[in-house]
Amino acid sequence: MRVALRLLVVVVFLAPLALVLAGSLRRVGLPPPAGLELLPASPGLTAYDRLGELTPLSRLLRNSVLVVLVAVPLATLVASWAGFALAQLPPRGRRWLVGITTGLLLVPLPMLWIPRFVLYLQVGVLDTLVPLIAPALAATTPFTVLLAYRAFRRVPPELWEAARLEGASALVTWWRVGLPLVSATTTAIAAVAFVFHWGNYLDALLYAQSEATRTLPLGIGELATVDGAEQSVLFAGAVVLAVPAVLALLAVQRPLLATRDGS
Amino acid sequence: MSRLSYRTGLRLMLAPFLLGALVLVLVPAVMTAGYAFTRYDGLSPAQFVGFDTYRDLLAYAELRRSLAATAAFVVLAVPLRVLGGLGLALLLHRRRARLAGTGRAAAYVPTVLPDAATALIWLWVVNPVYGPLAVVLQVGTGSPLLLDRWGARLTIVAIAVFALGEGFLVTLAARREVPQVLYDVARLEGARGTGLFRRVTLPMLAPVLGLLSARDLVVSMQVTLVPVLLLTRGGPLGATKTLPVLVYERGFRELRFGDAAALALLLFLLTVLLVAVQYRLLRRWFRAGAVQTGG
Amino acid sequence: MRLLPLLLGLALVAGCGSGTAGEQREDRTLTVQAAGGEGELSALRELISAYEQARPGVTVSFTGVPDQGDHIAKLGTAFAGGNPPDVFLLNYRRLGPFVDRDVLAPADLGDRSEADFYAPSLEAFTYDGELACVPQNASSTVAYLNLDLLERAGVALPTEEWTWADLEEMAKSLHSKGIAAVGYDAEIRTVAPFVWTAGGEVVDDTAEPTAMTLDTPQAGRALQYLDGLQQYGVDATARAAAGPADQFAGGSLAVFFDSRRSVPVFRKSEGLSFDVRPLPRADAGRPSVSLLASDAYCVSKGSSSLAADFASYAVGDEGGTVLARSGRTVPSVKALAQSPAFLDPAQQPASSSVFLDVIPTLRRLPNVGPEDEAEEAANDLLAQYFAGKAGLDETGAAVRTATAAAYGQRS
Repeated sequence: MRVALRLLVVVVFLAPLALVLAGSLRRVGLPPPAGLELLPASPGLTAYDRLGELTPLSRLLRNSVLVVLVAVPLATLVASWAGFALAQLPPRGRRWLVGITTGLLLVPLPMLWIPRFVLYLQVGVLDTLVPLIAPALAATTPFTVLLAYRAFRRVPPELWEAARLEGASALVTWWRVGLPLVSATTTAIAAVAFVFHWGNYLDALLYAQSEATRTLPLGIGELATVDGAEQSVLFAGAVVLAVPAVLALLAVQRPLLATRDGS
Repeated sequence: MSRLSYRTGLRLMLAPFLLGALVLVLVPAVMTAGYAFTRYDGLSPAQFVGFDTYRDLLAYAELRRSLAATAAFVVLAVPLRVLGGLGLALLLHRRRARLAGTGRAAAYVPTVLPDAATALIWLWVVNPVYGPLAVVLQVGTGSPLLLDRWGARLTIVAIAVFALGEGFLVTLAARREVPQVLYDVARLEGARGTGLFRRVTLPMLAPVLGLLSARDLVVSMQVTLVPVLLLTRGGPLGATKTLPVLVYERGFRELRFGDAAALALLLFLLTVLLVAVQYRLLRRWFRAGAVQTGG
Repeated sequence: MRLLPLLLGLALVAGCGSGTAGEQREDRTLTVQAAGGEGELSALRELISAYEQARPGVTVSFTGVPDQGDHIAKLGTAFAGGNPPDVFLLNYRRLGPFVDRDVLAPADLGDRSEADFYAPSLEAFTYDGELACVPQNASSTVAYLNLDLLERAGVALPTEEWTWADLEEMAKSLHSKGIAAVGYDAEIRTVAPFVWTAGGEVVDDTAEPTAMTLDTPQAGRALQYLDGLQQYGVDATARAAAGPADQFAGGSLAVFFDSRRSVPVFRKSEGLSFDVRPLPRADAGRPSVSLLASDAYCVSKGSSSLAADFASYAVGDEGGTVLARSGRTVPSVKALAQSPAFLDPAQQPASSSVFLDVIPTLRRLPNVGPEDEAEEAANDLLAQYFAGKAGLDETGAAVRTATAAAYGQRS
């Protein structure tokens, strides 16, 4: 019974993606199917070629990769440092700061859209990739800081003490002692950051719409309104966008989903 | 670097995050509260207008419609997401059970999919001729789902419900931290099935579920924008024009930054109010539950 | 340990970015933005490369947006961000907000004089007594006909004087042969010419509208007529599955109402043979009326002189001919419209002169500030009506209330 339910979960959550993957192999130019078509008769990759004609795919990809290459390490670093420091602060300061960090989770994002637009405008980075990278400066989401904090808290404090007595600075202790112990969590944080920055439609829509700075989500999302884009081309767009995110999930599904403590 | 004390080093490592949060979250939030009382279009300087913006906004039917759309979404999406996450956690928490690992990964997939990809997939799902929903529900002969007020709303809700990974993950971790001994004791006292759930699982998970509900209320206030923009454009008849969509339209399509800020502030205050109400209700409910089950 | 310098480096990079973005663009580059389908945009790209060849050393960066709404939103934020495109194409129905905000440079017709242009498009872009932008085209809604499907059903090509009854009869014969007869976008721009030919009005005052008037008997007749056509072709469900334009391009739809903009795509569709006719008139005695669909080149205030040069090149003999040949536009300049580049009988549609013949009968929708919002509200309600979810009287009343609110709000 439980196994059957689990199978249902797997099917319901994975089926759309699997069907989209299959549908993207339908040849462009065939008349539309009369109804639901699960597997195309003679599969091919023409939908991906057409996708390249309808969108400047290589430029979109380059921008997206650039954002991810800068933002993901940055977010991981900021989160890991913050988590490391929080874990070792004296209890009073720590409680306050962890409370504030949790509180940040409760700030609705629409509150930030307009002031951020004004800020980016005044700094002169509107319509550059900077607004897409900027959230990494705040660790992308407070969630990553809390993850790092939890992981470092589980390390026995004596280890920090020992490194400190040997004269190591905080930074050296983090690098030599802390990081190797929480590598699984660090990977998970990087994955969370990757998923956010890779799929970031909103910030691109609000602050980086120009032709030179458009990223993949915006370019692919636009297909929803394109005349004459066949269903298989939409599928191909969804696949190009989805696959890296799913791979990131597979890379961390063990630490993130399977083990008790994530470290 | 080595001359700095260890404590100072720690503070410096915390600084980037605090600075980032200050500049990108706290300062903007305060700025919004300021803009809410101005007329501002990004071109000319902001003009202070006091509560005029709110008076105008409240006079329009559009705000009432938007509040209804938001309420419909929140009332459906928040419980479904929290309870869905709970159900999945209970079904999939065992380490070695068959299909549990695959199930955990599968349940998380929609959460990591980029919004734009999700929207394209759902455009197909609800397509009245080629889409699977039309075939399964045999609605092809009726009218298109997205032209129906509740059809469009439920589609947006469904997208949010499928992306329940974060809540699922947190509930899963919490479920695994419930000591097995509590179940053993309850079993010795004769509890089985739902009895175990009510006596052990629910009380132990209650704090986490409460926190998640609060977080979900906040999330629900912001996740609707991209699916709505790509699928329904706020329609039909404003049925899916939730508050974030209205903030976006006023701010970025009509360049009424003051109006948009006023709406965003309203959204924030509503969230705070709802979280407070929810907190009291849930606390009462969990207490009642605890008394009832003798725990 | 090496990460700290990296972080500082990033901060510096971000800082440097701020320096360059604020600088003035060079005089030899131009930014152009337009909205439209793939065919429309590729026509503009042809025009732009012709311009670059004619002006050596000048580079044009072109942004094509598939969706009109996105185009406007993008323009809005670009103006707020102080970085608008130098030249952008704008439909007259969306002109108001830009003039109201005073962000456009005065229109410069270059070597052309006003007498060279068709009057309706000049009039549509005149706001507060002044010409705001340089009209690109004077297009109009017509009926596209798939010649093969007509032949297969044994239906003759209609005359230019055909009536609603003729179309309905034709739709019946097509439908009886299993062919999807008629398709249209359920929007005010489709409905408007049908209301006009039936003797009704769409807005109470084109210059200063206060509401859309679809609650009159004449408008009701037009709505009911269009609604009735759905049973022979594209109904709300089919429309939601695939746009009627796509269905016509794919060869599965016999009659489709749209402006000239669809021509490049239809020409590219393999095996599609089509022609155009004026929209049918309500009754034999009544005039045929069509809706003006006109775009113009608007120049942002503060752009270099190159922007105005581009606009006048585009309506000049050289640029105008490139665009006319693409099929996208009905040129706003009479000389270009009557040239072989536009009327080329070897190109589909064979009866391109239909677009010129209807120009004297053209009427238009308002160009005031809230027009876009008013139309959006009306389209939302019309979609409900054509899906059978709202009655005729209910729709007419709701359109009046919703558009009155839109037109009445402060701009």
